[in-house]
Amino acid sequence: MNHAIADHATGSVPTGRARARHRLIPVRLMPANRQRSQAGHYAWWVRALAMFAYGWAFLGWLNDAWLFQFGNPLWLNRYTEPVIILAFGLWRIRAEKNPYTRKRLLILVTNVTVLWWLIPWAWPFIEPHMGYLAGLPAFPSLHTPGTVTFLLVLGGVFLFGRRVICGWNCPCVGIRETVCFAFRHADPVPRSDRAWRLRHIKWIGFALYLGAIWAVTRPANNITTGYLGFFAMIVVLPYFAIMLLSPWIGNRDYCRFLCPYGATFGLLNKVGMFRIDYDAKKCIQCGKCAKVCDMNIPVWQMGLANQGRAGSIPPNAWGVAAASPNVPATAWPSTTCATCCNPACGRTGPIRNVARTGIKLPCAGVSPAISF
Amino acid sequence: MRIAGTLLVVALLWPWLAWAGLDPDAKGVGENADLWRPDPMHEYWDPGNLHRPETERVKGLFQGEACLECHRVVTPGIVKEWRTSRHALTKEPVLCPACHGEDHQKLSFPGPQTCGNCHPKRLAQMEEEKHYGFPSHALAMERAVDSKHFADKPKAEVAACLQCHSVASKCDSCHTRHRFDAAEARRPEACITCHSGPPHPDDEAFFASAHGQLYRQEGKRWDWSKPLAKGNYPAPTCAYCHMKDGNHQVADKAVWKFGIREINPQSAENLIKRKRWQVTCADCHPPEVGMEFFKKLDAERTQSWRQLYAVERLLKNLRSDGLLSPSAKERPPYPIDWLAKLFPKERIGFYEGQASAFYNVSAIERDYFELWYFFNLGAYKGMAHGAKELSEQFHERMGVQVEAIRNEAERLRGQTGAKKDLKPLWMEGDYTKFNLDYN
Repeated sequence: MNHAIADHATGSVPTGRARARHRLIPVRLMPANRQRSQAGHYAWWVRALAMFAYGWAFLGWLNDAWLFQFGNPLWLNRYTEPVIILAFGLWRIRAEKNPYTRKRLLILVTNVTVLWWLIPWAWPFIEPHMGYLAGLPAFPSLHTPGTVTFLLVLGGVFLFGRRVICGWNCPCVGIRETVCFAFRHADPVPRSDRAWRLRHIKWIGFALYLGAIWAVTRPANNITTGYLGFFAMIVVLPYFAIMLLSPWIGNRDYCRFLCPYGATFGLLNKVGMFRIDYDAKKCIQCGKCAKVCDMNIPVWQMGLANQGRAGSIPPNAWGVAAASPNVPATAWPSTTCATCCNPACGRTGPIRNVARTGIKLPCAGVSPAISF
Repeated sequence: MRIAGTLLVVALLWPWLAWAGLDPDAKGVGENADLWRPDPMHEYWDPGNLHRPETERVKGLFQGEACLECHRVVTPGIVKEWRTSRHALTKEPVLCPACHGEDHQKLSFPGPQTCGNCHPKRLAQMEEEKHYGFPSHALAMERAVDSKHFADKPKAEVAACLQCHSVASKCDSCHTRHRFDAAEARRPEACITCHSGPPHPDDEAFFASAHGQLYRQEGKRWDWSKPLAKGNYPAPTCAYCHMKDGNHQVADKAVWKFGIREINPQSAENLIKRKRWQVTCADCHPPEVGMEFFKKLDAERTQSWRQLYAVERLLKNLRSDGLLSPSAKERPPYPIDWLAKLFPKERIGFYEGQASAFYNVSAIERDYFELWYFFNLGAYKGMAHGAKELSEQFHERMGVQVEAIRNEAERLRGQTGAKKDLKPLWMEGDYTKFNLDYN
């Protein structure tokens, strides 16, 4: 009998040799909370390797933009990051036991590899764009206001919800879910009222980003080019720096607190065709959804509030539900949700991503916190 | 008698002949509009913003033939030019009012928008260039008038800037009026009017190259009425490569950005631009020739930047040891640069903005500026235009200059205690105040 299943059956935590064997032999369909490939369970050298790979990916960007050494080879240019994401992604997909997370990783890594590496690498082309970018946007200019990719993503988020990018396609999430997974702590996400309120910091970034959108509509001059350079630094430097804090302040630290793009998508989520829905009938009040959310959204509490049900708000409810029990359904989720949903309660989970308008969209049926 | 008669006529007609011209209270344009006043000539350089039609001499509406009646006497040169132009020789001639308007009191100097009424494709191409950032023809005017030194420097020192930077605001920089000849703009001389001199010796580079040699020997016999397309010319001129098929969007292959800062020739954007170069070179050369050429250019640039960065470090070390004299604290900042007033700092290298702080600096900083802006750009221009010998000449000059800067640095380091003051260029006082008040 397979060792791991035996472990599961007896409920004991494998130690020593058995534990080592778990790392080597993946065990399919092991429940999410029992698998060995959980954050915070890795040996120091695995963490060191992950950190090294992350630093290397960063160095690739740095070389592409600043250092110009070695003639920009694949092992040290802008495509180094997706290559490393692919390498670590294969390992993560193989090691991940939860079918939902596994599926998400598979899609995420495929998207990053194909869209953000293979296509621009094999067929480089300049994207059509609006405005004056003071340079040519080579595909993919995901983060450059006014390019086709940028506008398609905005449109996609409006039509199909935030999953078209966050959690399923974003290279920034990609590297966090694969390379940086190993050096996360088990649950590094700060879950407190204060941490929940801190999500509003991102609106500062959002304001700066509106400024960038204004700047690209003007022909380049000292002010606009200076501003765009400043904006790029404001986005890029904290992004790479804050990653190093992720073991302590959470995997989605940047997405939660700073990401100006995420803030836009959040606003689109409020008016877009999809919303996160909570099926009270299915909820068994275990509260796991809130406990595993990387974005620290009080999922369960908000769900209860929206259903108008008198639920017992647990002591660690981080404020929102208790403070505003009558949050209208359209206001949920908050602008924070990246719809990546860590699996919490199996296939019958009550949290779903559903079409808001009643219009049947092709993906509405499969949508999902989908099929978890 | 004849002279006296002429003088009498001139004296009587003087007010009539005087150009009404620019409003004496006219403000500048751009970010620092309040800080400089345009000269009368500026209405030619930026007619869209600064032209004021004269309203005193002639009143009334005029159609084409009526304009010619007077102007073949008053301004015979331009009428003669126009008569030889395609505008005059077509079945339906494009007469004066088409571009200048009918009302003599509201005449305009045509800008790109005027020409774009009939040549929309060319105008669109030129406008598209704004998408590519600097350096740019289409953004040249803003680039000049928005820079701090344009508003701050003594008027006489910036008088010539707009002569070239007006390429953004009028088409006759390359197709001179009133013939507006496409063939004229195909010849390298059209570009050389501006693309010459220390920071961009494109003329030297082109004429030193094999392409330029061929042009010099045979150019007179080429048929310049042909479009810039494969097979039409035995050797390329500026416009052939940079404005292929007459494309007025000149920045779509600009990889090196004039050579004033190091760039990554292998970035996603630049690889795409390189491909465009390869296609252009392949009009005459096998593809691998182009590739080989890029490799050599890359190597030349890498070497130059290594040299330049070494000198930059040397200067920054001098700065941290307080050996630059006069230091930023001792010399006045640009009057309108509030940041430099609060935090005076010697700017060294592109990323600190030295390119816009090249005057009123210590001698060694100016030496570096010349090394970087003149000799380095010459070396780059030579290499990029296939004039290897010229590039080598500039490299020799770079070597000499680097040596001179090193010696100077050693001298500065040798002076312990009593810092021997280098001659300051100018200090805050009457002179700067004058500039501030009279620009």
